[in-house]
Amino acid sequence: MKKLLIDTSTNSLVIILIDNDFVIDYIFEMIEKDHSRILMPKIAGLLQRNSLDINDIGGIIVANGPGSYTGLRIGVTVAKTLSYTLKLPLYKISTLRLMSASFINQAKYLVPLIDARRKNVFSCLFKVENNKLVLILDEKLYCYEVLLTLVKQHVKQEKVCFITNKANDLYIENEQFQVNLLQDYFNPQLISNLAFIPVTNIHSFVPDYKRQTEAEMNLK
Amino acid sequence: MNDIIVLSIESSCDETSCAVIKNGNEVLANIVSSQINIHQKFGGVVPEVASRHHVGNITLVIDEAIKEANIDVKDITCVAVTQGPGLIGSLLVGINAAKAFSYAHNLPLIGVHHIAGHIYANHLVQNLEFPLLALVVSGGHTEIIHMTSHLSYEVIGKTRDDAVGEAYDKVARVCKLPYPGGPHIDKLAASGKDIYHLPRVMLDQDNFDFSFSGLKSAVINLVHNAKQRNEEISIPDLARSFQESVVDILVGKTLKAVEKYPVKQLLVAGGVAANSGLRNRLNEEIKHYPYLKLIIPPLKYCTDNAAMIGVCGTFSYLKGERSDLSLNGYANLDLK
Repeated sequence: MKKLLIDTSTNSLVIILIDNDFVIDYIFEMIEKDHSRILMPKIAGLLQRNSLDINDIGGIIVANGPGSYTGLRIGVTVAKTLSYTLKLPLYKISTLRLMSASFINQAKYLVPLIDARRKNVFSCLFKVENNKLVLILDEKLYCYEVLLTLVKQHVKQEKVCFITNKANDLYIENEQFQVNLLQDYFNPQLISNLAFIPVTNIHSFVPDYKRQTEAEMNLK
Repeated sequence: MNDIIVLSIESSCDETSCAVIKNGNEVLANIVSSQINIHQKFGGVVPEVASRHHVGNITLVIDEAIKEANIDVKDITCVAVTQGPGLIGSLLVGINAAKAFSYAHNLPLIGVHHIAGHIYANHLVQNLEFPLLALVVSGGHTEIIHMTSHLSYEVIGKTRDDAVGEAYDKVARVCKLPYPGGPHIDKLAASGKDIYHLPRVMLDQDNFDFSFSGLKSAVINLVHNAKQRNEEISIPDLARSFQESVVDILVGKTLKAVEKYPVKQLLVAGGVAANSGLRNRLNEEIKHYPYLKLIIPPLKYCTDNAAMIGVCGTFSYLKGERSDLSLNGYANLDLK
């Protein structure tokens, strides 16, 4: 069965066409902010250049966050609309897992970073065990300094691979902590091997923002 | 001739809506999921909150509309969607759902201007006849538009600052009335008297433009000064005074436009078209113009809804207008 994976949650655009766990074709582009305009034409183009149309697709996978709020909504809206109207199974994958998958052969400890402004990041700590990502520190919003302290407590002297989509002065490298750009290691086959989680209620499915809106926080 | 069935989506502010329109004038379904009670506790629409709720509602309203219309997806002729103006985060949810839906079923896609939609809501009441004038009044817009044929718009007047609905919401906040303020002020105004004599800004000017921020400030100052002097303000009288000023300005400017542009129809569109003060005055004044037909849509087509987008989308479809999958949303979009 062929599946379409969509990720618009960061400043890259990822679309992967998977057939029974193998990647047929993919798109990985750094685009900053234009997901709304280009996502659908890119999906159509990817299928067309493989002589397929949307009716050949048997399932949709979408990165459901954390990440850019607007970006997440675009990917999730397109994924849930396609899945609802074509009666296709829908699967979700965390953006942080998706970012980390390409690095499982690079280090034992992985820390994906998504800039959340004001020295905050959406992040977590994964340990690679048997080619699987085992969650050590929860996926959530961290103050970057606090995250570093927590990571150090867990990994002791071991090396850690920090993963980002965009260079940021905040992320300082040293002997132990290396910062790598996703675009230098992007591996669609490793992504397609991830364990995608079935979405049971498509209508109520929304991104996992990992942060309340400011208005909601101020209300308390 | 085959029926033209348009599936339309509107998500420009805090209503997630999907409609099914047959031949441009028959509403087979018009599902509106309103977030009013969610935004009430914030005292106004919070864009990020609105956008988040749209994602959770969008496929549900599409599904309900198709079921209520009792149609099959293969009966649908094309998909129409609001592309702006509006809250960008909100617009993008409707637009991306519309694009995915049209792509999934290989249907033509049509982007519709939100204000054009409000104007075309009147076509559900009576066929549009040209030339016509439309007074568009809502939380985001205050415009007078002249049309000589379908889908051709000439904006002859607009607000230079606040939209009239925005002024209503702000005045309501000063009077400690809940959001949205318009209906509350309208209701209170009925029992009040115009004793505060608020300004009629720009009414004597020789143009069709509006300004409501000065009027809003006059109300705020009045309340503030009274408080400092420990005087009691009668909220019903203040509501009536404010509403009288607003209606004088809106109707005064509109009648000036009617004098200059001889038209067959005068349309009122947008959420403030629900205001009883405005409706009553227009119904009264129109009697002096026996050849002019006044059309005001029923309440459910005044506020944001997808039915109006489907009606306008039908005319765009017939004219051969098409959007491709790169259709995008625009917070600001001129009516052309």
